[in-house]
Formats: sequence, C-alpha cells, structure tokens
Amino acid sequence: MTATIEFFPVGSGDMTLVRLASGKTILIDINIRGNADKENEKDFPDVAAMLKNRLDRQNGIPFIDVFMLSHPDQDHISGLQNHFHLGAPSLAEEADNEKDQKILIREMWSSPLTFRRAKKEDTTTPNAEAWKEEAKRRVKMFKNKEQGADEDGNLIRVLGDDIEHKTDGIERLLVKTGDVFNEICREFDDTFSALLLAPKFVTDAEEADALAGKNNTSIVIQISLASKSGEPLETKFLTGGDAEVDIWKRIWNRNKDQPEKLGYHILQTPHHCSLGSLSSDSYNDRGDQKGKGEQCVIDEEAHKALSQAENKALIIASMDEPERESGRGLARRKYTDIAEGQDGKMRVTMVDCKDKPLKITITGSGPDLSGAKTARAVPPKVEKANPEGGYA
Amino acid sequence: MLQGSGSEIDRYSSQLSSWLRAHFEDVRSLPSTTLRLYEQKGIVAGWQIHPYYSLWALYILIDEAFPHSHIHIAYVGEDKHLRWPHVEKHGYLCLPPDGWRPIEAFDISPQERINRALKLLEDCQSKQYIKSESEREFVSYWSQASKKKLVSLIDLANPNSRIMSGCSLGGELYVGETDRELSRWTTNYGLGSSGTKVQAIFGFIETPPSLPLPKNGNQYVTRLFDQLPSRSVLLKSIDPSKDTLIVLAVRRSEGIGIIGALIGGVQLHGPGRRTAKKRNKRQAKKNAVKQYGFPAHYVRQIWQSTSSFEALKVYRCDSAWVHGRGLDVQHRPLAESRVVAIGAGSLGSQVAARLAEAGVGTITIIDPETIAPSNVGRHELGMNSLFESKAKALANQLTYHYPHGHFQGRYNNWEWVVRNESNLFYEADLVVSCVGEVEHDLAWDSCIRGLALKVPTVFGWLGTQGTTGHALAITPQSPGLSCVFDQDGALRFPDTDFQDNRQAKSEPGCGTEFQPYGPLAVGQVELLVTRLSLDLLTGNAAAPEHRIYCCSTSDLNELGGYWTIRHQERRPDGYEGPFEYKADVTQCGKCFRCEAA
Repeated sequence: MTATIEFFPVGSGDMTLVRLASGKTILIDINIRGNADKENEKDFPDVAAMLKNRLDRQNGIPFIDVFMLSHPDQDHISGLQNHFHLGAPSLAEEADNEKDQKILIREMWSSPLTFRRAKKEDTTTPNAEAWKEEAKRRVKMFKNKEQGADEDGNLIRVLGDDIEHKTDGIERLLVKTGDVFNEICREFDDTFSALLLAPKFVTDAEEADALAGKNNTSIVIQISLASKSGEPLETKFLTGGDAEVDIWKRIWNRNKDQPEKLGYHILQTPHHCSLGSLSSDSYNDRGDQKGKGEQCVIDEEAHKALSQAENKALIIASMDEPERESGRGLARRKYTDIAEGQDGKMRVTMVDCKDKPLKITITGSGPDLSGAKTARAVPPKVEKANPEGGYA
Repeated sequence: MLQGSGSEIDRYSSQLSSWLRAHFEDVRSLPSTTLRLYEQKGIVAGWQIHPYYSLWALYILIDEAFPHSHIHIAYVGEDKHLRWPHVEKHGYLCLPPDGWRPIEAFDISPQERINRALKLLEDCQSKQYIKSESEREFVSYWSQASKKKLVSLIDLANPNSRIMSGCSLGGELYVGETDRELSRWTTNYGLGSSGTKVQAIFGFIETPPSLPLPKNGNQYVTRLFDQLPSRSVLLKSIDPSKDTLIVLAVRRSEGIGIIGALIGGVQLHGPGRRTAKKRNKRQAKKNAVKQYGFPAHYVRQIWQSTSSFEALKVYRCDSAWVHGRGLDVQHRPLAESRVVAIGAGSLGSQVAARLAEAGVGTITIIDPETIAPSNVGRHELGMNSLFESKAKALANQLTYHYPHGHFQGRYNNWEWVVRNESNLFYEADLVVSCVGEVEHDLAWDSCIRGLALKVPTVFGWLGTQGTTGHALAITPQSPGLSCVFDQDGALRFPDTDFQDNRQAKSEPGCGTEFQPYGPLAVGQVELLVTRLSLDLLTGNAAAPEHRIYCCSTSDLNELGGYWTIRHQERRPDGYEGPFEYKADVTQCGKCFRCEAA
C-alpha cells in the first residue's frame, strides 16, 4: 500500500516498474537483453527473473496490470516475445519452469503514432512488430465488441490521436494529449493520475518531417502518485522515453503557462541521459559534422521543460556509467545541477545500483531513495468489548 | 482462485502485495506448486518475504475469503511439524485469532500477524515454551501424530485407574467400560458385535505429553505410563504377548483431555533347544503366570524394550461428550433418566428426538400407527421409514444416532403397554404424551390415578391450525388434564376462536381428518414441550405447570381466527408477535378428579 518505483539495471535502456499504492503495477518499457537471460552473466543481471519475482500471480501466471511502451526501440522492448504472453489470455499457461514462464499483460498502453512517425531508414524489430500486432488484436476486439474484449489480457488504452481519424470509434480507449486519466484495467484508481504530454499529432507536413523518427514519437507522461491509499496525489513522476530536444521544446511551449504540468519529484532522464534531449548540437564528431564538445548549446526551452524539479527531486538516468567528456557526461552534469539546485540527487542505475533495481519508495514526505523498510513493532491492539459470537 | 482485476479479492490482494513489497526485502509471488501445499487451507495466493529484522523467511498466504479473513503465514525452512508448537505441516503457523480483520485495519493487521508469527518462531527456540505450549494443546498434537483412530466410551467421571474392555472391529479400535457396553454400542452403530477382544487400561495422569512426542515404547512408558496410579496392579492383568490399548486422561482447567496408545504384543518365547530342565522351568513359569499373571516389572520391561508403540487419536463417543462436550452439568441426571413417550406423531416424534439429542439416556416410544406419506412433511422420520411402525422406526433411528442410549419402540397403543409392561411406567422418570387426540389424553389422565403412578406426565398438543401450542405437566395428585378441558373436549379457557368451527380438514374421499399446520408450527410446540420435559427431569420445574405458545396476531388472522378476551388480557400491550406464557393450573371443581377429591 506504499507506492514504489523501481528502475531495473538494464544498461542504457529503460525498464521501470511503478507500483501504485493500490497495488496495481505499471511497467514502462523493457530491455531484457539476450545476455540477461543467460546464466552467470554477472554484468547482465537477470532482470526478467527480478521482474517476475515482483509480480503477483493469477492461476500461477504472473501478471502486470499495465505495460506502457514509450516507443518501439530495441532498448525499450527487448525480450517482449520471450517473456510476455501475447494473444488471447485464455491461452496463457503456467510453465513447467520459471525461466519459461510468460507474463500476462492485463492492459496495454500504446501509442499508434509511435508506429507511424518513423523515418524511412528506421527498422522495426520482431518485438516491435509483435507489440503492434497485439495492440491491433486488442483494438479490433473492442471495435467489434467481441466477447471478452473487456477482460484482463484483452484490454488496451490508446495514448494519443492517430492519423486519418483511425482512432474514431475507440474514443472510450483514447487518451488525447493534454488529457488526465486515472483508470487502470477499466477501473478508477484513486492512487494515481496520469497527464499525457506527448506524442502530439501534427498536421503540418513540415513539422511532421522535423519530428520524424521513433524517438520523437515517445510517450511523455507525468504520473502523479499517492504515497498510500487515501492520501493526496502529491508525488510527480515524469518520464519521456527517448523524446529529443524538439519534442521537449514543443512540450514546454504548449505548457509554459502551467509549468506545474512538467513538475516532478522524480525524473527519468529522457533517452538514457542523452544530450540530444537538451541540445541540438552534437558533442562528438558525427560524419563530416564536427562535434562541439563542451560548447554544445543547451536549448533553453527544452532545459526549462526538464528542470521543473520540486524540492529534493530525484533524477534517475537508466544507463551505463558515461565518460565525463561525452554528450551523456555533459547531460549528466546538467541534470545533476538541476537536482542539486533543488537539494535533490542524481542517480545512475548502472553506477549506483547495478545488481538490483534502484528502488524509490513514495512516502508521505516525498520520494525516498534509502530503501529502508518500514516494518514496525506490534501495534497496540484495539480493545474491543467481547462481542456475541455470531456463528456456532 | 483469484478473480479478475475488478474483484474485491484481486484489489485487496494487490494492496497486500504492494504493502509487502514496501515493507520487506526480496518479496516473491509464490508459484502454484507452492500454493498447492496449502490447498486444504483454501490458499489462493501467496508471497515469500524475508523480514530484515528476522532470521526467518515466511510465506504470506491468503484464502478466498480475503480481505474478510486474516492472512495465513507459513515458516519457510526445515519442516518443524510436530516438533514446534503451533507449527503444522509445511511450516503452516497456527496463530491465535485476534480482534480485527484486514479489511478493518489493512495497514495494521498484516504487520501484526507477521510480528506474531516471528514472535512465535522466536518463542519456539525456548525448550520451556515448547513444553508449556505443547502441554496446553496436547490432545491436538497427539492427534496429529496419530494415524489410527480409537473410539472411546470411557466414563471420565470415574477417576480410578482401571482395566477396560477393548476390541478391534473393521480396522478400528474401540474401548469402553464393559464388554457388554462395548458390544451393545458397536451393534447399535451397525457394526455387529464380532470384534476381536483387545486388553485395555485407562487412568488419569498428572502431566500431559509435550513435544517432541514419544516415538517408542520406552519413551512412552517412562514419560507417560509411569505416571499412572496403581499401574503395577493393572499390569498384572496384562499379557505382554498381546496388543494393549492404553488410554490416559489429563485434567485441565477447561476439561479432560485423553490420548490413546497401542502397545504391540510380542512373541515371548523364541526358538531354542528344549532340554528337560528348560522345559520344566518354562512350565513352572507358565503355571505361575496362570495363577498370578505376569509380573508387573516384566510387562513394563517388555513394553520398554521390544513392543511396538503407536499413538492413537481418540474420538470420544461417550454420552457426556456427545451431549455437551463434557460441559453440561445436567448431563448425568439426563443420561440416567427414563422417559416413556406416548405418541410418535408429528409432535411426539420430534419431542422424543430432541430429548434423545439433549442426552436423555432411555426412551421408550409407544405408538400404534405406521408412517404414511402425508406424515413425512412434519415428522422426524422420512420416506425411508414408509409403512414402518412409527415407534419402532424412530427408536431404531435414535439408536443409530446415539448408540450409547437405550431406545425402544412399542408398536401398540399405551393401553396394551399398561396391561403387559406396566413396569415401564413405574420405572420411568417422566411420561410425555403427544397423542394429539384429547380423548386419549384424558383417558391417560384418568389411568394414571388408577395405576397410582408417581411420575409426572407432560401433555403436549397444538391448538387449532397450530396457532397455539401447549405443554402441560401434571402429577396424579395435582389438578389434571380434565381441569383444563371441559366434558366436550374443548379448552375451558381457550386463547383463540375461529368463525368457522370446522377447522380440521379431511383427506379427499377419505374420512381421515387432520389439522393443516406445517413443520414450523410443530417446531415451536416441540421446543415448548421438550423444554418443560427437560426442566422437570433436571429439577428446574415442578408439576403442575402449563406453558402456552401463541403465534402472531397476523398469522392467526390470516387463518381466520382471532384472540379471545382472556388471551388479550395475557398479551402484552401493543405487542402482536408470537409469545409464550404460563397459565395457572387450578382445580376446576367440575371434573372427575375434582369430584373424587
């Protein structure tokens, strides 16, 4: 009943498990690399096993309430087919051994734009195709009002409008950019709310070209969390997949009148702390283009979008340790400045917690990195009168 | 089985999971293979946790009633089943109930249960704790360690150590006070009386067994049997070559607990070369044994060294346990009571059955009729007794239900029984007459004066359409039934009146008349009559006494009746529900009894 966020040690990639105070789980991206599934790969922790151990089971099958895919890049969707059940939930079964056990996704949160706004040279992986097919299956069930469409394992929520009115008829499933929602698996949950900040469907062809590329279709979302059931939604978690500088600029411009919409107590640095989210410049040489090194210009608007940190904010970069003299190194320093400016902290998953998920507990006084368990002594017993035994 | 994400159990299970993960290290959801170990407890989901402040890992388990039920907890590790108190198979911890449910205090209850579990495990490290706790629930631990059953009819009110009667029948063991009692019980129970006799001993000891329980004859004898008073005398009657049943009782503050054991018989003489000298010596021993029995120390020694030992789970089937779990202070007077029940119709059969259920030891049922299909809807007996004598079938059923009791049926009218077995009435403590026909009851009322019976009679009957019920206790010396009814067989002071006097119905095309009341009306009067009967048997009431049950005004009006002025004087002001009252039993001054007086 205490909310937590865990960042899995997946190198430079994302895999984040949010457990709401209601107990519901939201998995944001996975990067279960091949080596992580092998035995004795100590640099590649077995994150699939870690995840399964953290999930509850139904009929012996571990399940996640929500799987949100920020965008279909390999470092955000690796391991989908190997570790998740795709297809009708009735076909999910308990495996003979834990390694082969697949996880049931009760509800998908998926953005159709992530599959549309790709550059021509972008390729989709089998895992991304599998996600797309599964999302289609679920949407089709809903559209056709098929039996079981509203059952766990067939549920989907569509984040963001699609082209050519393709989301017409599924308004019940649709969350438009700028909307706030607080339903999980078709049930109202008072321990969280989510504000969808991106992707935003653009009609202007030129602008669409400028934003082409999977990274720029990433879902950017601000999740507000209650520390416990019944408590206010005070803790904000901002996560934005691999959204790059152009997206953050636009998000800022759309919301600069209400900067609290970008406020956070916890920020997952976009694109694993890539400088590309803060600057249009390249740190290192890239082809003929000369890298600007430490002279890279930090985009003011993007920086503003990512620096609405609350007091004692935690900024988490899900990445390997970067070299100091690198784009990531520079970005890390920028984020550290943002965090420390608010008396907060910056942490890097593969540096600060490389063998197990980096865990943040949402307490009444904000996020807590210490991971201290809060088990208490036996509470005083409530004195009650001797009631009449109602049953023989 | 957990239901979908919208169900209450799923929602609270998620909350519990979240709470566990926030409070404990390395929380893992349990796979079905582990959950199956706790199938009998109704477990549907679980997690393994490892409290950082403890040495022990725990399984936190929930059943289908969660969150209306508490979490269950099992200890993960070497199975301490039957070595630690309150630890069952697969480490399942038997935690005492407490005063709240998770749904009431979700953030307190699981923590409190987990702390209790850890406290229990910590306590189990102390030998003293293991001893005192296991002694406190010794019957339970002994039973868990037992595979075989022993049915006991032992009278625990007798505190003396003594030789009992035992037998083995159909793979089960039985022990009672005498061979006759045992054989009657097994016959009544439908097993016959052809069991193999087994020698048996019973007695009280001071200190109950504690964990770990005895594993062999030596441990059993030195730890438990050696506490038995007069054991040396009892052992003289025991042949160590035969199996012996031993039942030991321990008096606790909450009552008496008993445990059983079977000590296996052993072959006393092995093969060997028989010389004349040896033969003579052996013969001399045999003669001594024949005359004096085996020496006590010899039997004890064999039990310690060679005999097999098996713990037995004792099922108390003695009357005191069956009719009140040993707590009913009225049990003995009831068990020794003799009741004659005249009439085994809809009311009489139920009253007789309730009296037997309450522990009345001897009931003779008299009724000249057989069960008809139309009786079954409001009778104690069912279709399986169709066309059988009501009296005999009911006695047989009671005998099967309570094999320790004495129940007999007489397929005849009471006049016949008075002529041929009048001793039944002279020896009885109470006669209950539920004939349901006033002329027969008046005849019995008249007869008891002639017989000079001293025992009271309770008359039970239902008023018109079951709207009222009566339980009237009289003695031959008191005002009688004739003081309550007039010469026409009508109540002198009725509670009800009906516009249509003909309330009885006729079966179609048949002269048989009946009152069309149902089983609920009978049930009310059955309680009234049974309670008065039991009060008389236990000295809580004395004849004459007349108790009357009246239904609600709306029920009466629905049936076309209304309350008489006399009833309205009795009925509490403004109350229209069912109620019960006591009527005075006075001499009418008009009947044959009063005239004779």
